[in-house]
Amino acid sequence: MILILLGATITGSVADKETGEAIAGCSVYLEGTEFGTSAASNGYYRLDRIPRGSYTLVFSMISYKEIKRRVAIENEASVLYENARLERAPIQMPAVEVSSRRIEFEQEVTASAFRIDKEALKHTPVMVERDLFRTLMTLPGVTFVSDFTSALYVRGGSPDQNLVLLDNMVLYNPFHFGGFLSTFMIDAVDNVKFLTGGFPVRYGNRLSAVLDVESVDPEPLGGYLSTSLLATEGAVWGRLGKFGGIVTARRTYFDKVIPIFMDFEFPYYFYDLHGVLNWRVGQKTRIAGTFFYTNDKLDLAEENIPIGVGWSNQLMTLRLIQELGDSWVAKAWVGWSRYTADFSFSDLMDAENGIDDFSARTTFIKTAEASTVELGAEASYLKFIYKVDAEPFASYNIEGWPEYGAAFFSWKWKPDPLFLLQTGVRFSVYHAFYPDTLRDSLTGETIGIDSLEKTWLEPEARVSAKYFITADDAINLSVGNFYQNLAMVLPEGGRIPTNFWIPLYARYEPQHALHCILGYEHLFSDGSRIRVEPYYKHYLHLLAFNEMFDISDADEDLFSSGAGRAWGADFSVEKASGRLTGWISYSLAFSRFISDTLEFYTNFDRRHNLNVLGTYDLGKNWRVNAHLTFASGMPYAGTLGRYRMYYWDPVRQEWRYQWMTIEADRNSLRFPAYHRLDIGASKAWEFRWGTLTVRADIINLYNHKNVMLYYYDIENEPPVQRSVSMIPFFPSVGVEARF
Amino acid sequence: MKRLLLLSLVLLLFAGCESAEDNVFEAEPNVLALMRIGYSSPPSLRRQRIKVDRSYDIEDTVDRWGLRDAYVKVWGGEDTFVFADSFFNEDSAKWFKYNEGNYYEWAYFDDTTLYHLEVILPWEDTVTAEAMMPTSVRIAAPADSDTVSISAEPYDPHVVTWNFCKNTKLYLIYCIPDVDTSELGNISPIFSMPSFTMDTSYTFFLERMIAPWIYNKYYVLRVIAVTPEYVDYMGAEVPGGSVSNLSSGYGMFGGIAEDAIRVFIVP
Repeated sequence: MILILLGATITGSVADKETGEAIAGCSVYLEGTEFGTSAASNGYYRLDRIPRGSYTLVFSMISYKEIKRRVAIENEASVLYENARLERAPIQMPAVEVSSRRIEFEQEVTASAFRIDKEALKHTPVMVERDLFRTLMTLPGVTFVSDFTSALYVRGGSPDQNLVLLDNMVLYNPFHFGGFLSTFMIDAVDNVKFLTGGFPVRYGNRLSAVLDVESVDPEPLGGYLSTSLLATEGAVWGRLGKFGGIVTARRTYFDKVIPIFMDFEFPYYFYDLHGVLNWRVGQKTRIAGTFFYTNDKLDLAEENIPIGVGWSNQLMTLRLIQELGDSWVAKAWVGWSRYTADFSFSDLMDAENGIDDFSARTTFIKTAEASTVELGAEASYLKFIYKVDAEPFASYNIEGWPEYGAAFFSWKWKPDPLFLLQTGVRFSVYHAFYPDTLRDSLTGETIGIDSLEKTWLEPEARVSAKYFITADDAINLSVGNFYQNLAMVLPEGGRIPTNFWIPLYARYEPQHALHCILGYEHLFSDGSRIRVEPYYKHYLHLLAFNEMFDISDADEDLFSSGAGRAWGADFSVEKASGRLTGWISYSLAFSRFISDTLEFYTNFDRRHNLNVLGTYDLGKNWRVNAHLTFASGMPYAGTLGRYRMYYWDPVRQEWRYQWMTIEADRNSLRFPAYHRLDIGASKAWEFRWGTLTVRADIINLYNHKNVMLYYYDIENEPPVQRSVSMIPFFPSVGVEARF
Repeated sequence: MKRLLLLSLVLLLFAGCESAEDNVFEAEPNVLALMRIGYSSPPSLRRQRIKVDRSYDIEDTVDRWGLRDAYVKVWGGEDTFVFADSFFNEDSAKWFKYNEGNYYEWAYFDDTTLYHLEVILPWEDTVTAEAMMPTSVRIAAPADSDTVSISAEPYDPHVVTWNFCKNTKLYLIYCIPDVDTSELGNISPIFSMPSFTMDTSYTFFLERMIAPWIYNKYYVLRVIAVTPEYVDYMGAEVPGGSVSNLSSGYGMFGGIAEDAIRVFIVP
């Protein structure tokens, strides 16, 4: 060990010359030698065990001009400090992805962490458009309930347990109707991190997973326009002096196209708008603003179907990044996120849900040679309403103004090349304030307003460690506890088209989870990797929507509270370079809900989940790709048998009967296994003005009828079991012009 | 290391093969023992029926209408009633396949005795239950063939009254056109919907003013006292569903007491 560690050290940081921001993933190496590394997320790098001699130290990074410096090692016990500030330039360097993988491997505890590569997003088969969530669904540990929803079920957690952040603001419903698409347009986002468990203390108020999405940093003048059968999307971006901006927009035309092919009007459309404005105030200061708006509208009234559904996300955030000296960086965000949803059925029912989230966050990060310290705080004020008006049958109104505050401290420490520790504590306060409508017990009339208030203190601690067995093999261990103070009204199988969110109120305890993850990882020299991660999660005060809730006492009975367990193991093999790229992911998963009276597998308890994705570069700008999914059957509450329920009919003065069903235990039956093969091909042509790409995809190539649900006609003799299938064989084409 | 990984993968795959709980359908006996208590003075025996059937797998093609060869017995106090299979004669049974599983006996039930039901099935499974019967009900007003004015009701309501019945959870009140049962299919379903009360009187018939009354006709006014077991059993369409008091979990042992009069309805 001592011999191995003998030699000099070169260390320092790498930053953007203009903005002063750290350049994570920057390749730093000694030219003509095997000594090389990549800068960490805080910009720091370290080269160890360098023998005496003269070298050329190279800093290189995509989109930056390369820097070369002569350095001399005269003493093997010496430490050289070399900081570099790189100037931006549009330079392409294919090796950068490999480098960023290596840095991630060496500098981060990578248990359950994924960085989503834009290239992978662009080259996976698509249903209608490229989509972030459809790609996330292929990662290990993630499963889904149907083709018609993009909701992510991560390691036995329901979708409401996932924290979805856009520029550090919570996005409550990042989906469109039918689940074909999420609300993110992938050219508008960058640096997508997806954490399937054991996430750091800077993230809070969720139990299972984090999707952290940042808006893209605008490039010099450019844009694109892409169109497919069902939607058109476009963007323009550019820079002017210290300012940079991008605007991306998308609009579907289901409502116009479907009637051409089918005798059916589908009065549904959505549109998305995502804008970013950056202001580089000075060398060490940057201010950026984001505007995000999505709107879905489905109105079947013209089809004589009295159903109307609509929902919208609105988000605005302003962020400040300020360097404080050489080693401190301060970041601050203020923002507002609104989610509104409504559902109406004729004049009989009108449901409405709305959340206004006003939040502020700040972090201070100090980076040093072997450690990084992060201090942070956040505060949120929520205003929400969940109202159902279905007089004379049911009417209820739950509204409140909860407040949430948290402070955290985290410390990452790499005392030697073989060991990395990342630990942190988070302390949260949740204060729920709800007006409680008092009603006359007999007439149901409002007779007064009372208020319910309660405050919870939520301490959280998380520890992650990584031990490097060899330079390419490492073991990760991650444990921690997590609180969550809001829940989603999520019927079994997610059969409503939108989501209704409810922050917790006095009747319920905050949901609580414990994670324990053990991981093994092998990184190949070309950036490919193998991962194996067994995990166990334990839930307390877990809330499940009570489908049989007492309407007259909805605010007391809307959720069932219990415990839960989820365990399993995730495997993935990823090939990151060469003409063939892609990954194979397999998840073995168990998920149980346990209450005082019953215990059952959750309705998203898929035992096996296999995804095989590949993209092959044929050359001459031709690419072909394929995606095979195999997933064992989901549990469902189904019908086992029937019996005649006899009764005396006093009107006809005779004995009669009606058939009644015998239901199986909750979620004790399984649908058949799901499998589907999607393929696609694309061809790009380069012109002076830019690139034109045409792509064609086929979803469900062999038209397998994957069962979404069963229903029975028990009056029939013999009774008939019918099934509703998911997406059949579906071809689509698209064109994109990029300039 | 690679071998270890492969081994652990294979082990986990085997562990994961257990994917669904067993859900083998098992047929259960389904018995309806609803004793009908009519009004008679003095109290007398009445022919009672108990229906014995079973549950079926959802994929079964059911051409059977009940179970034969069961041993059906009700006893309480000093009385024991053994119900006989309506088709003890094999030769005649084959002509009446839709009447299988009916067991009859002449019986009299009072409202102070705890009665026990025992059904021993052909495969030696036994279903048991116990219940008390309602007091026989007698409508006190209006009197038989009284003339009742529906339109005048909000101003001059007619009140239906009857005697208090023991072991009763609910009273159902019907008012049905007095027609032959073959014509009942032509009348509005609203007449098949009962009004109900837990009291021994009911204002006639505030909520039924919208019913398509045919005036100057006779109607049958029927009051039924229902034991708790039958109320719970009939709750199939409400949260909590149908509740059985039988050890098999399907069916019910309980009783109803009925009385009916004719009323003449005028605008």
